[in-house]
Amino acid sequence: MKKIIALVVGAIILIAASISLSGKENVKVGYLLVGPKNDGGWSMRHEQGFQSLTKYGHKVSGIEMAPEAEAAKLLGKLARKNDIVFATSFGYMDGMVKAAKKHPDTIFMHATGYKGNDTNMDNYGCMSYQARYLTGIAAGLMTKTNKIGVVGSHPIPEIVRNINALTIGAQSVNPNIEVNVIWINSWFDPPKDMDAAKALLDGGNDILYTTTDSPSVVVVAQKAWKRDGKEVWSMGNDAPMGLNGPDRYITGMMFHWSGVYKQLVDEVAAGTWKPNRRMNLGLKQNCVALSPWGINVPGKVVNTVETVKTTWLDDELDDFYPFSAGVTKRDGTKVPADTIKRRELDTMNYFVQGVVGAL
Amino acid sequence: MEFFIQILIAAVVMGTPLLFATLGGVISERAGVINLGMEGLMLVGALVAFVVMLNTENYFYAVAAAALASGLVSIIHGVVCLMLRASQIASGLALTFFGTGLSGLFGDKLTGETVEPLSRIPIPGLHAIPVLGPVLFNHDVLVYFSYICVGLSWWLLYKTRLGLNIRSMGEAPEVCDSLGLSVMGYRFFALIVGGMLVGIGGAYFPLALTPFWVDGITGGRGWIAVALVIFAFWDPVKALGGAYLFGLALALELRLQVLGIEMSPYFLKMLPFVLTILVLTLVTIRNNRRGIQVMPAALGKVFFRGEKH
Amino acid sequence: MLSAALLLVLLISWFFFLAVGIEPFAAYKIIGEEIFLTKYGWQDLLVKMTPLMFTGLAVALAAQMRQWNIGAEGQFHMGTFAMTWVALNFDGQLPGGMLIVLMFIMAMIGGGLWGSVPGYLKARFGVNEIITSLLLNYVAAAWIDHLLFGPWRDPVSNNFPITREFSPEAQLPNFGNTSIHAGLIIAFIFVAIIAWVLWKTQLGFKIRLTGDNPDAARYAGVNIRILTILVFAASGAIAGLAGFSEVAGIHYRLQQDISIGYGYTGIIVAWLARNHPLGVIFSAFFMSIIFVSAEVLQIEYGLPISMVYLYQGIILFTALGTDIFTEYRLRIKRFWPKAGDN
Repeated sequence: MKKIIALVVGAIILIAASISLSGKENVKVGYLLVGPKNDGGWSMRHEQGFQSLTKYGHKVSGIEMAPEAEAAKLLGKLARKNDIVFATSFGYMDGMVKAAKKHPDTIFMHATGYKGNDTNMDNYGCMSYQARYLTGIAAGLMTKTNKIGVVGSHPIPEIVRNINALTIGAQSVNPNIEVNVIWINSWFDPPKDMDAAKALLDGGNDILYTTTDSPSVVVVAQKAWKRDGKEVWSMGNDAPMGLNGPDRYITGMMFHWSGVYKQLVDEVAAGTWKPNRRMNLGLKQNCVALSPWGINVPGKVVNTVETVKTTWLDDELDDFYPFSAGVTKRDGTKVPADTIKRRELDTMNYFVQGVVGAL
Repeated sequence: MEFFIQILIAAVVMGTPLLFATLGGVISERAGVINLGMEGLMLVGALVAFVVMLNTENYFYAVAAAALASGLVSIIHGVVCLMLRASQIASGLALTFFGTGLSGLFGDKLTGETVEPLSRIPIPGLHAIPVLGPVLFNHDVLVYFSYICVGLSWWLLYKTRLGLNIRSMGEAPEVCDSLGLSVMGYRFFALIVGGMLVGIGGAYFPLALTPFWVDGITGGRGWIAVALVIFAFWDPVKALGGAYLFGLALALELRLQVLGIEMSPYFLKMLPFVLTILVLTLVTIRNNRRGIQVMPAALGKVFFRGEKH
Repeated sequence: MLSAALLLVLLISWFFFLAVGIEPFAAYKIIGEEIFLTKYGWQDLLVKMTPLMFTGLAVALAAQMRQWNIGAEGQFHMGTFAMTWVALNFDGQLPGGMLIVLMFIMAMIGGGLWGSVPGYLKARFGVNEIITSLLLNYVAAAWIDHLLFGPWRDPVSNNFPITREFSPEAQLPNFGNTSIHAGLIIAFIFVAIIAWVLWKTQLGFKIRLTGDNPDAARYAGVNIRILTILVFAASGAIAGLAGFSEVAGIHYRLQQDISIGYGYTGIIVAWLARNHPLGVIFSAFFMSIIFVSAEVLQIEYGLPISMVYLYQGIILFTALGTDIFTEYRLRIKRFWPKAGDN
């Protein structure tokens, strides 16, 4: 009798084990990148995030430099071969809506957008403004001319609020700073990027910051210091850009997508994916972080910023900080505390006081 | 005033790759060969310059290699449209695809690498001249080389027998042919030399403008050069002015924002081309009356012995 | 005709695949399957073929008169400009299917007017049309950018350079559930029209005569000036329709990158078709295969996009290069001709 029980228990354990193992099926992931997968910024980080899935046995296939006008078609193609499809740029939004309708069996995730449906499409994003705020503090502490120059990509709310966060952060330690913005109207155009960086340099800005996908400002700052002895600094975007100009790099905002992607793919494998979550991840979930500090940044600056970061991680600041503390628009009107939430952030199209630039 | 001078300096810097490419286009088109593949050639030049620079840290090798590579690639264009008599326009477009793909393919692994950009060398004495000094005489060595190339091209085209023959190829190849000159030979020569110059223009990007590799580093400037050749009326000296004018437009595009001027940068972009068409028309009208040709008469036409085309 | 080119293309791409480490048979198999054996493949082919037919036809028409329309790209853009202006300003104000018809007409007018500029300058002053039509491409592109970044920017799309989406009455119908839209039919109709005009009408005869022998045409009393302007306008109008077809059939809004160089590719399409309207159908199809197979390569093998351009470049060079063997009979006495040869 005991033998039979042991056999049955053993069989159950064996069956349970094989079920749980086979439940971890290999998921097929497709994705669109808006820039080259080696751009040194936004697209590269996503590519790294997706490629990190392969070590778990998942299969990934992506299209780089996918034109936004071709989104619906390309997403449809990817959907036919994959279980879950990602589109990593705002401009793919409407194309994805169309493709999602036509391919109800595939899951669609859109980065940085705001559309979705109740069945198979959702969006996700990172609260990058949190990291920008922190970098702003560093900028405010380190500038000597009180002018911070920003190379702006596209004047969409995501970038606008990032610039605002940066400004507020800098103002928190240095109320006299001024942020100058030059728009290049492109995510990725290195010659223009370089030129904008130089123009900002010529304009007296000693901290050069970028919201684009290429490390032009880092290179310009490094060169200006090495060649002409100018005391300028750079701050990067999306990826650790410090390698391109280590002596003058402060820090930057950087993304970690592997965690998010692993979570989503695991859900697809387990069948627990749900729509309507509008995932918005930040410092706490390590979606966005500060890129490694440059070698010449004074310890005092590092400590100040890291202290603020810790308060955030310890939940002493809410997700919408610094905006939750209320802001003053450029035209003087004050936005009261606790009124800016997700929706207001998604549609933010004004600059705060202290920002100089067209909008 | 200081800001104004900065804009002019930027205009020269932005205009230099355009200048090289335009000179190349001028030489080749004077012989009657249109090369619409300039963007592709520029990218090839850029890639080769970057790779060689990365491995040898020698600017001279980098530039020379770039010139060599783009010269070689333009041979393909020559074979297809000169020997195999295909449409120069279609072949040039295929060249664009080819060059873009070639450079992107080999550059794929290079993202993130940087090279040391060329440094500025002020010319002693000259660079102290107010306004003109910093604008023209405080640049890197490739800019100075471009000045030399302008002079050389001018001398070649107008003061040598070789140049005369090249120009004749573009005006009346049948006449040259009956005189015993090899049409294909001269055209190939002009095409290759022109291609080499375009490649040097491409090399300027990684060596001076954006000292790290990115796909599409030239940002479409090759296409601007195609138009510039026309704007310059196929003349090397006018190419200088034209290149810097377009360079100014490029520099202004962003700096207008700094000045707070709310002009649409796109009107600025349109202007050089509209201007070119106007000028071209006016000069054509004037020259028609005088019976002079404005552009190389045989430009773009396939040459067949004994046939009227 | 094309078959010799096709064979050589297959051969060269064989080497290409080997060079990048892809097993050629497997690659052909996948491309072949994806494109020809799935219904999506056929849809992609036909959808991609549509704008190429229009632009190829436009260039071919002008070329019948030995005029080189390099401006199809700009005429495409101006066509999209004109039709978008209608779509944005008149929706809801016109009865029934009038809106789309008006857009159709305006696209032709937009492209046609833009095309007539080089035509006029050539006819009246003798200004080289290759140059003027090329330059106007840049102007048109800048104009569209100006509109997208400025007055036509969709307020809802958060400052992105796109217009708002068109209302349903401004959209071309699709065939059932497929992505193939009515633009394809319109393209075929226009091919037929142009072919008929060229070979069955006086006008067409005049066009072809002028192309073959301008002196004879002049003696015959053909008004070459008027003809030049007319042909360029028609060519531009057809190129404008390429834009109409793409925007009203696929995107339903105006944005950047709607044309991935269709105007320039049209030149190659026309060349391969020997400027014959019916031939344009086949060469557009051929080019479409090249585009779509490039996409397949990207997805299947993860080839970087630049590889794909290289692939296209090699194939195009090959196709252009083999043309001579089909078009002319070479007397290979000396490949490098010397004076005195005849």
